Amino acid sequence: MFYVLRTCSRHPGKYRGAEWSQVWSTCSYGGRKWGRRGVTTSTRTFCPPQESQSSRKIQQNKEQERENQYENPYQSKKPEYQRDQYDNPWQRTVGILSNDIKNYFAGIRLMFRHISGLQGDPVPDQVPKLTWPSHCDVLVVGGGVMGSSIAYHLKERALQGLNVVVVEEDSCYKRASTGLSVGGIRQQFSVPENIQLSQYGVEFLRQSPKLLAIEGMDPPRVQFHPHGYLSLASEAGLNQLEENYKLQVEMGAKLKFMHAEELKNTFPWLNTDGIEAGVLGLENEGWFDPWDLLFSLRRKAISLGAQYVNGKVTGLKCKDLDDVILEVHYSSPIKNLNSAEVTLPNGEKRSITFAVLVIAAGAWSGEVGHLVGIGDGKGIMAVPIPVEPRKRYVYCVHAPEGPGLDAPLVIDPNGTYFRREGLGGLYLCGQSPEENDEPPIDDLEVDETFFMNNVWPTIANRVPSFENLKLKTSWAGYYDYNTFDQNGIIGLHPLFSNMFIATGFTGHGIQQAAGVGRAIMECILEGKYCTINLERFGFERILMNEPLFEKNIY
Amino acid sequence: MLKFLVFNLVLMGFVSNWSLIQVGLSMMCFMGLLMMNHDFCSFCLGYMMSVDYLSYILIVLSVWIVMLMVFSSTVVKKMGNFCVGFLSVNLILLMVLVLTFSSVNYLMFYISFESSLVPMLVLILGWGYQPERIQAGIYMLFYTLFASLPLLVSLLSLYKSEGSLNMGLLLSGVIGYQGTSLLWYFCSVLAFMVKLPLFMFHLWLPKAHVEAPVAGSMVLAGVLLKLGGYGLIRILGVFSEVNKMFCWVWVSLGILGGVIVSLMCLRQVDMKSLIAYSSVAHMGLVLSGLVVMGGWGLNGAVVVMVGHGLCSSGLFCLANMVYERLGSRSLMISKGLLNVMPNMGLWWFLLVAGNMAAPPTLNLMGEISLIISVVSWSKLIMFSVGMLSFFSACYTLYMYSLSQHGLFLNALFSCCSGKVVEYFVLLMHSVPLNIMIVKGSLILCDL
Repeated sequence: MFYVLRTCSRHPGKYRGAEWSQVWSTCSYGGRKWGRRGVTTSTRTFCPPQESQSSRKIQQNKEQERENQYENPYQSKKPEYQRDQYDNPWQRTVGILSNDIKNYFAGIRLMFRHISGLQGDPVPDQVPKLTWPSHCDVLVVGGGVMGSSIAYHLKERALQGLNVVVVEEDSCYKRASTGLSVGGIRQQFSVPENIQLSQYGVEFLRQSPKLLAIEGMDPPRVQFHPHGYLSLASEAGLNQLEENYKLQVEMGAKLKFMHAEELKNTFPWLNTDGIEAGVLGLENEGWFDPWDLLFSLRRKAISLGAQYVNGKVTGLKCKDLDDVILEVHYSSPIKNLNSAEVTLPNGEKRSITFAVLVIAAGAWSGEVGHLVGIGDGKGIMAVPIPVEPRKRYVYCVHAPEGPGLDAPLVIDPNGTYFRREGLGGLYLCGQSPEENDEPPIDDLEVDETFFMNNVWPTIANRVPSFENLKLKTSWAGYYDYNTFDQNGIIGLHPLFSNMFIATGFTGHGIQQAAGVGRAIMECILEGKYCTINLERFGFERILMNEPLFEKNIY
Repeated sequence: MLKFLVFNLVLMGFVSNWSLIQVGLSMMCFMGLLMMNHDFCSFCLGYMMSVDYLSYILIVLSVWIVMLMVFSSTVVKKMGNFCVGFLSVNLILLMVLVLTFSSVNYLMFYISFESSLVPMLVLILGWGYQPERIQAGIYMLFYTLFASLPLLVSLLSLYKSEGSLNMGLLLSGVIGYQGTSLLWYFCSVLAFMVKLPLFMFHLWLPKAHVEAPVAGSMVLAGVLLKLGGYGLIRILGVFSEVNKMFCWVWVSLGILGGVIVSLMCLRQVDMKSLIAYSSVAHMGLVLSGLVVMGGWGLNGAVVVMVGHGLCSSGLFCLANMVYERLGSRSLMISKGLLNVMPNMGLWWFLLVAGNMAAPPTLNLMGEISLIISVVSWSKLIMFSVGMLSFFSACYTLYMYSLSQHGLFLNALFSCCSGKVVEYFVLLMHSVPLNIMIVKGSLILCDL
């Protein structure tokens, strides 16, 4: 949250992404002998500022980058991969042997440098290049919080037993939904599995300083504020609220059902006109820092041995299993995915063969599905992965007389929400626009008129002290919006024997990331869901047209 | 043995035709098996080559395994991944192996022994999966190369002192068991210890196996490890006095190393790595039985070498079949295979039973002979040998159960249960393994 706010306040209305990727990449010098279990400190990915149109600016930036490179010995360019894809076996043999010998001596030189205490960055061509992971066991498409959580849970359980590679297009996470989210976590759902996922999410957050700690580095600080959610209902939504409340209490949530009077007494700053009742989460609800969760998960996955590749998956190869005898007649045969083509930022295309694919690409999962034909075909293949990006705005306002420290995240009956941010009187607020009023998704520009016309009136009505607020900054992020029923799609695709989907969470992905990561890990390693049964979230519900709606409260 | 070599050279002319090579290699097997009615002394003498019962059975094993290698590498043919080069490397390797086993001169044996490394390296690095990852090539090359240079020096000094390097003429051997003889002895046997591989020098084997294609693994486990055993049998006769003083080193390393490596097998997550470590354990037992210099030990070593060659090679074939279908060798993902490939379950079980020396496999006969040999040398070692046998059953059953039983990866449908060529390859591995115990005198030496 802090990073987002800082960059937003410098460039209001335009989110620039992380200035420094918080990722400390691992380098393996001369093979596993030298690679350490922890994370080495010698490289830090530098994220260049937003590209500007004028060439003069580009020139300046380049010069600055070059200067920075020599100033800061710990800064290096993005890692280069070894050019090793000879096809000819004779050349390959000679090439590999000579590379191995070169790496061995480079590693020895590096060791001497460490021993003699030199601080300088080694000359680039002497640093051994990383090896391209041309084979892996599990390929995760998308390195946001969902992909990182899957990688972390897999590596934590399997350690050296599984080779996990995560392909992430943007190491700075400029457009990823994770960093741009408001970071709330609640148990007030109407689908029981959602409640269970959030409960595990909170447990995970609480234990994250222990689970995601790396020796020699600062432990993660997700800054979980357990201030709860307050869902308000008007008369129309009162029944639904009661029903939901009963289910949530049954599932073990600690909530308090309050009628308007009690609400007024507990929260004097709240205007309860039109509100019949509200449910306040007493425990296991609140908000946290999604950036820290993402980078802690990523860092821990890398330290456990997962490999993050900076690139975009542009092709997927599959083979038809036409010798499989089926009892049901499908229009297309069962397919088995075996290799992915990844386009690196410098335009190079390389391929990775894998045994299991997990699509955790967030808002762009529909595109990844199209790469292999999901959505253009007949029968089951005609149904695309119904996930598309939808832009949502988050506004940061300053209200000097706003609600105090005990204010939970308040959700108005019409969907508007606000929560306290920090201790300086800042609040984050937002609203989901109407279905026919969706903002365009080609960029992350913020529309302030939406705030003026829709958000401010509602929150000012709900909390009178918001009348004299000032809009400080704002940003926009994408929801990985599931157009079918706005709940996650988790599980195998029926026609692909090794493709898992974990996407479409429509705004509550950040809270379910830990639970979904664990669920996918159980599917892959044990063949079934062991802890939380997420069978109802499978892709089949889309084929059978059985939507799993969250019963919202009005 | 010229008939084998000429046949091989002629086949190399036809490498562009995959099926012709398959047929040709099968004919070579048949031709080799025709000579099974030998009388255990040297035969087929001529041109610095001769064969006795040990060389013969290992030559037959090599041709058998290379034939099965070509049958199981259908992926190379399908992908069109330099088939001509692949087949020529295989045939060159076969030629070198036949030369090694049939050489009568120690120096020719040494040269062919070293030359088998080159096609092996090309096979592993050229057609392997991701050899850059763990430096398999470097490990294999440097381990075996550096260990065998002292052997060259020792052979040359042997030539200087005896005047000839002919295997039949060095029966008097090196006299004395101190000083020079000691150094001589260790220099000579080190190469074979690394090749076998013995416990402390075994690191190259799992790395080489994990990155090798199926053909590479098969020939590595099936034949190349036996080069070490064969070389030991030939060279220990020359150093019998020194050996009597120092066989305790090899017996301890072999048996205790075998126990340690068997325990490590239980922790492996990669199928091929598990089978590679099991090879180390088996060869450790072979070595221990052999250096005790008894009749039981010699017989047991030969029998286990043949049996292990067939069994390990078959297991690598099976691991490769799983890899071809599922894309991963990790035991954590390739589980519950009985659900999708029930027919393969039979072959898995037969070969796994072979690995743990269950009756009626050849390994049982060999292991019993080896246990008798080792225990005759020292009764205390019974505990370790017992643990070795026990843990070998443990990890073998572990591998079988982990890969076959349980739930399959939550995918709803299966993959191809087994092609005819795969069944053929596995049949050719299991049938000799199970049947040869009936006429064990084919391999056992009638001393």
